[in-house]
Amino acid sequence: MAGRITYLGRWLRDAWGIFVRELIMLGKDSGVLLIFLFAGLVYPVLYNWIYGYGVVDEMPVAVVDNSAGSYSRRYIREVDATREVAIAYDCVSMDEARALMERGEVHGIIFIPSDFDTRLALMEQGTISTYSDMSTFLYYKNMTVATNKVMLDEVHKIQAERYAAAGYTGQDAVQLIEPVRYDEFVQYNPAISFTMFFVYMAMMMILQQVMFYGSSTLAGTMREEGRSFVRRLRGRGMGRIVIGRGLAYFLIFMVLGVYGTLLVPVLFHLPIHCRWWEMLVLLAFYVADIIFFSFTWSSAIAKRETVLVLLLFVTPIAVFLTGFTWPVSSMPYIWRVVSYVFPSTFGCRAYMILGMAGSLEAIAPQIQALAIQTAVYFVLASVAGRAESLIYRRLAK
Amino acid sequence: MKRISNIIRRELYLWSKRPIYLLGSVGVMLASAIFFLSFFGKGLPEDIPIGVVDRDCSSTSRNFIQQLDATQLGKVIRFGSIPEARRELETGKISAYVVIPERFDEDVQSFRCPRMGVYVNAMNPVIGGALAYKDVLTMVNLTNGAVQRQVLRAKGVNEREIMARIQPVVVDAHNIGNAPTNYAYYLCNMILSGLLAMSIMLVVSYALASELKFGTSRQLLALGGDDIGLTVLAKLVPYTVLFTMLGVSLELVMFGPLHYPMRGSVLNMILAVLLMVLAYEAVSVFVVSMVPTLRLSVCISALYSILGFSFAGFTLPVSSLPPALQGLSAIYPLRSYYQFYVQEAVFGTGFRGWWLQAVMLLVFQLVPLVGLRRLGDAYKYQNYPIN
Repeated sequence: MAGRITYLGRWLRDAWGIFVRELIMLGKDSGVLLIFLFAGLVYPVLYNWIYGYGVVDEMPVAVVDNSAGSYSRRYIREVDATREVAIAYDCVSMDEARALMERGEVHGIIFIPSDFDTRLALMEQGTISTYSDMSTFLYYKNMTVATNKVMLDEVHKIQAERYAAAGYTGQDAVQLIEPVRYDEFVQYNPAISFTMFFVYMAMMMILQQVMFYGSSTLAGTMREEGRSFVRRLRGRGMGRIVIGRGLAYFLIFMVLGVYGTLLVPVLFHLPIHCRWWEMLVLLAFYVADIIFFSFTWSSAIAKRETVLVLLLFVTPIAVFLTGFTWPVSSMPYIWRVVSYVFPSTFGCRAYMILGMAGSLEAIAPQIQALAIQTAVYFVLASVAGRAESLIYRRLAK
Repeated sequence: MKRISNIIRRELYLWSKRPIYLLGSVGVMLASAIFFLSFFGKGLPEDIPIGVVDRDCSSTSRNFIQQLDATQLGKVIRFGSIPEARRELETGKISAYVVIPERFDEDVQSFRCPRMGVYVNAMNPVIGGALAYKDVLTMVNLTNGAVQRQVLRAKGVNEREIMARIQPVVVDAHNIGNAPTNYAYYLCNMILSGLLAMSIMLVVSYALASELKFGTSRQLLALGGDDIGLTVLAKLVPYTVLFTMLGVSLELVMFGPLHYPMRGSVLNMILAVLLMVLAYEAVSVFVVSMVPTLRLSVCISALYSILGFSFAGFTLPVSSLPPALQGLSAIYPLRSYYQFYVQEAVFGTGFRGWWLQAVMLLVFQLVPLVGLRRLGDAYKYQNYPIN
């Protein structure tokens, strides 16, 4: 048996050699290291930090109270007491308030007409006008939440007064005012904070994009210099090259993944309800998927710098395709189909669900999708490599 | 003049020879515009899935469900049990669910004030959660109103008084700059401008640094008469024209046929685009002069420009960033461009509103002066690693 190597032994030895070689090349390339280390290590911290608070508190608002009665004063006082809004200016006219809004000193105006208190005293309907600065969604949200919640509360108080005047008091009035009650449970993100949904999405997206741009840059360099990995291939055996290279990245990205999805979020107190090994299971599937995804698409990259110049714009597109803000049910059909191309579509959703629901069972459909994607991209990456080597050989002839 | 036109002609020749320049600018912007301008559809989600667990199955609860389903925002999905609905909520298939308790109908009729449970997932996705929440609460309040109206009608109260009793205070909301609360209006202009900024950074850094990589910088410098300032200026002329045209066509499409709200004048927005293009070119020149290596300058441009989306403050306002990071927003021309846009398009204040932003954008023109000499040396001696 001495000197003879079985097929499996050969296979393993080749794969091992390619694995080591890929790691060495990664270590030598400053551009790739910059992408891996800066984007892979610094971005998770930066994004957690930037969106660490994620809500707008006590947004300044101007008030124009032409009624100046007890009802209007109570309304203003209660709006001021909300978390969302703070009454910063008490203006005498709409012109003054508008000037403040244009200067960006307030982001909303509450206008109370002069007949507000009179109408309420006459048991009629009073109207309050609000003007919100729509330059950012959060300004609008704060204004709407604050003015409407106080309005509902005010409505109940005034109703109680009116029913009392009509002879309904105590329990009778309460039953009439709110015949149906509700208990609200705004789960997982009670303050509707920006942090929660954005950061979960960003952590997984960073992994995919870093992997794609990093490995494509390296593949582009190799091709540019005529040292593409497929040139190492004699005869058959694309599988061992793809697996061998993949293992090198798997090693790096499992580390980056644990760092970005477990360590950094825990440091920044992002809720992660699952057990750590469940996250590792998700990461293993996701990392395998993004590796073969990157191998497949990087086949088209012939030069090292082109990938960033031509394809960086895909990042924001992939971000929106995950459906983290805009509901998947409202996406145009064609874009829903396109979203299946990216591992991040399933990965980001799975990470978010795992963080909230805390069990692998809940992300079974995403894991399944990731597994299918991995298999498809593995085959595509091998086929692409095979095609490339055929082209090379033809060129060589 | 002769030298400038020679350099411009050389640049145009390069564009025709290497497709990366036009693909990286026109191709990228075209693809992004098609994506983002079509992605948000009508701009306001419709038929958001809302779960209902009906444990009463009476005519009152059915009526409630039908009305919830009939709202423009919501679409009802029925569940047999709470755990089932909860699982769907966790996985983001539904944005909220309502539990109608047993004996709901009986309790309403006899004024025993039954309690509904409203469970919202305010995360996956956030817009869906917020809107579904709003939809359910509106329906519950309307139900209360309906019950009150029935009682008051039976007592012989007239309709006007009934309305005044059911809802004594009304909020009449005016949304300045985006009356229909269209989500695309918030995002598209800024995201596309951010992508334009990204494309400028990448293509211009590539153009400047590739001269070094391909060893053609000396030839270029000779065309410019060994004057690095003139050379860079002339080289950037075609890029300025190209990117301004791209930016202006985006504005014209959005404010023209797509009817994005514009309180002021589109002409001023064109000025803003031009200033932003110039500012980003200046930043690229600075990056390349500090790191005159193609691979690194393109990487740095990419890492820098992707953060611009966060620091411009059009999603999370800059005032809500950690104080230590708020100042960083000043190094992004996109931030000034956003403030310019708010003044012009949302408030329509004109020059008195945005002059400061225009000055801020112009200040970026001073940035390349810092490293111009260094860039000149790099072009002349080519004394940096090529790769």
